Amino acid sequence: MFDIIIIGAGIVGCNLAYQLSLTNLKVLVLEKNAEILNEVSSANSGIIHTGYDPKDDTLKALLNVKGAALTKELCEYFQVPFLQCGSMVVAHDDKEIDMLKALQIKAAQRKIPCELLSQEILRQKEPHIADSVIKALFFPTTGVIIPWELGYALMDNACFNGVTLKNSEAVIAVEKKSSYIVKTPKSSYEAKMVINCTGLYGDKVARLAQADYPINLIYKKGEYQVTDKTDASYLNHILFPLPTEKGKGVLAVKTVEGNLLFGPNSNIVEDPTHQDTTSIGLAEVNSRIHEIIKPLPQNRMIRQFAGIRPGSPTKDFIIENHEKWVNVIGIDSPGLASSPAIAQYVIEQFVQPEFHPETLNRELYIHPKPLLLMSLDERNALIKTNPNYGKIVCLCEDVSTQEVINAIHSPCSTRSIKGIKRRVRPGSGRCQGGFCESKIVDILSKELNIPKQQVLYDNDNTSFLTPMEDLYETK
Amino acid sequence: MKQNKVIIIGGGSAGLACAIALREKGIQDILLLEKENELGGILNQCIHNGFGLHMYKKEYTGPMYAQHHIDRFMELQIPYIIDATVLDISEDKIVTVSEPKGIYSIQAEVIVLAMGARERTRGNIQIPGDRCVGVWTAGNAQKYLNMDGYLVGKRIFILGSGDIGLIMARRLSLAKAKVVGVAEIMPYSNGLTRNIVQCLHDFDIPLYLSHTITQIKGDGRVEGITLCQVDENRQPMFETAKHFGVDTVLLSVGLIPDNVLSEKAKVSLDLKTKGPLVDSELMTSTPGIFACGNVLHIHDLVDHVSMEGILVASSIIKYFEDQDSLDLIPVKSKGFLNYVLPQSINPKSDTVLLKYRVSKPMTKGFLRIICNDQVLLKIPKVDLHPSEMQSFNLTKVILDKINSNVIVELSDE
Repeated sequence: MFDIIIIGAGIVGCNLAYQLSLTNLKVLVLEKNAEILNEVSSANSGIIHTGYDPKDDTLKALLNVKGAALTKELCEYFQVPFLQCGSMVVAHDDKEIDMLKALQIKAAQRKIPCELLSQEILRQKEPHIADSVIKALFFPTTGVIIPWELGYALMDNACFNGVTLKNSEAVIAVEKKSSYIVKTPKSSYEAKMVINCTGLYGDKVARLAQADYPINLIYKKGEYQVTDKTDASYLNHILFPLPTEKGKGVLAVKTVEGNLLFGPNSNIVEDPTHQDTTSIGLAEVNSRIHEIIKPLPQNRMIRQFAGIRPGSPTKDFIIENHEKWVNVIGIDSPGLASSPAIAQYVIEQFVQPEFHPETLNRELYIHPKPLLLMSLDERNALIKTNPNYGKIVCLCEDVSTQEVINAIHSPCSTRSIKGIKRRVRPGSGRCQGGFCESKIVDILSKELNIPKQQVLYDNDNTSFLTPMEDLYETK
Repeated sequence: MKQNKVIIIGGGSAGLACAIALREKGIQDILLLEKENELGGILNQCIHNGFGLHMYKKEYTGPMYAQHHIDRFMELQIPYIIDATVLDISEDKIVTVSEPKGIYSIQAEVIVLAMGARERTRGNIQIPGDRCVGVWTAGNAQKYLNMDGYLVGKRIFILGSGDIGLIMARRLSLAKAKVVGVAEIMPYSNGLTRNIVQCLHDFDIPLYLSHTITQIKGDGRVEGITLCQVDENRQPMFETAKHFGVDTVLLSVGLIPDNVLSEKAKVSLDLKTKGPLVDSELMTSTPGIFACGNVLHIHDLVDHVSMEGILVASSIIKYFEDQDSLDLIPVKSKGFLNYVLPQSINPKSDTVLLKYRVSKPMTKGFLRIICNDQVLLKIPKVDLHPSEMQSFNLTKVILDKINSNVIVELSDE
């Protein structure tokens, strides 16, 4: 019997698991995918918004401002990158300048630092901003994180502190007795309280516990372009158009790793399972990005992806408790920036009154720093302890064999090519795995002690190799 | 800091040929760095035959061709390190390398760039659709099959008629996979004619010219693709959409010279070849840094790669003898040419091998060497194809007449 079952290991689930792991509660996390942070939490802009955008008196406004501050603290604590590069919201005409001024007033009320920049200053700060931009509102505290890196740090620490994580276990039924029985195809688990933070499936999972649950999520798909790191110096800040009803618009951001990310567009879709890109959508991103940034001298796109965001009909986060079943629903933008505050809110509002948990002192688990960020001396010291630190498996991103091995054996283990790609980056560079993918297969097969034909690309149905000997009958 | 007279980056066909020729010419202090755990480069995974026809008048397989060079390399006892990845090259020729024994810097007098190329990916050409497993570059699928012994799929569609794609169409058919078709966005194929015949026709694999994949669908694994005909601007005509049920898409849509390290050494690149700008000695814009093989420009035959490595070895000898900077004369391409290499020549050279690629198939054409608005040479050419690299030797007689910018022009009259 668990005290709490968290369903869904997205960024909200990871924050909840971590915060609850600092108490004496017995916690189980159920994740339907082979890898945590596999959907909404990995396909987004990675921006820690300051909180100027949400409407007054909403949960979004409250939790975004709080969450942004907490995110920065968490990144420092876990030693994962938080790049406070600042953002600019740009205006193209007088009407848009008036909107910038309104935004400036709202930001001031929320004590978010910002400054209106003249043509001259904004071009000094951002030389490649589009010619049509005439003014910008500058938010120096906006930052960018690697969304899954913070998520993995949270879940690694949660597991390190004793939280149980079960991957590849989708919840298919819930029974309510004096407690909840949560069923997956493999097993069933009992807990006093359940927290449903299942992102795109939040409404459906809620209906497993409450058949007449009335909310239906609205799915908004956004498509992105990713450039080669060679273009890193092309952009200094995050550039936004003015926010509209559809969202924050097609923006330009430099990732922590140095790729430029252009997108997202925003289209309502019926099916949350297909995170596919489209010709029309990519064309829209390719053209709208030039409203804020000049075209790159060379087209060096290395990847396109789409993310689907679960919007609620109320346009606000929905966080509610019904007989110890907590729904955390409609966590679209600024969900990433708000996530630590969402977890805190859930715990303060619903967990503490129910369990009055004790706070425990926990040791910190720090995932080894990437070699890329080390000095040659530091790297040499590591190679002396283990030659695999000297053996580079991914040239594009400068990743050693040992870093891949470490990721596989971290507290919340990683067992797919995509998981390894997120955790230590092989495959996210310009060759997109052309040189390293087969080496990652080798390492996964060896470390997990499974044949190569069982190595997963992504989810459980994604092993992809057939041994040649299976193709020929031997006599 | 460690020091070496010549550091060769890459132990594939270019690097090996260069190292061997250097040693044969008497250079002792050579270090070859190879990032994989064996020498030979991409040849190791090319188990088909057809290598060495020009150099040796023999039809070697890739591994045999590589082994031929590796044997000679070993015989000459040239120092090399495997599992050694070069992380950085500085403008003043300091090479930083990571290998199982440590990470360290080496000061080189001369660096040979021989890193080869990488394949263009789905992201480069922006094929929309699901992010499912089942999309690989042809070379990656080749590595899984020929090096590791694993097949990546059973029903396969290949985009791009580049040679690796064609070779893989045959190889996969022999490995009992069904190759449903090959599509090429251009109105002509991009592979060698012999490969179209031997790899597609002989296996009844249809080739769809002026077609491209506009969508990949699949939940977890690739389930199908949409193929569209393209118009004269290479834009898909969606009303022509056809669907194919396949579990795998292989991409053979071109190679890109791998010049990430060259850029770190501030070597200037040509936007057309995507390789370094070089003079007739194949020296880059950074004195003492040379380039050969696919890192310089994409070759269709390994024989030419080896010859380029040998040419660089001769150039290095000359460089050691005389490091005075030369007045180089720029070479520009005009007309139906994609590029001309080298991009500048030293008129004092005895002979200069011009290499070029045409921009469209032509049954006949005329190549002109022009200097000061004067046509120095007009050469008739037949059966020109973008997939086949052409070359022409500028002799001393012509070179003596060159005193300012050279234009190499290909026209149809």
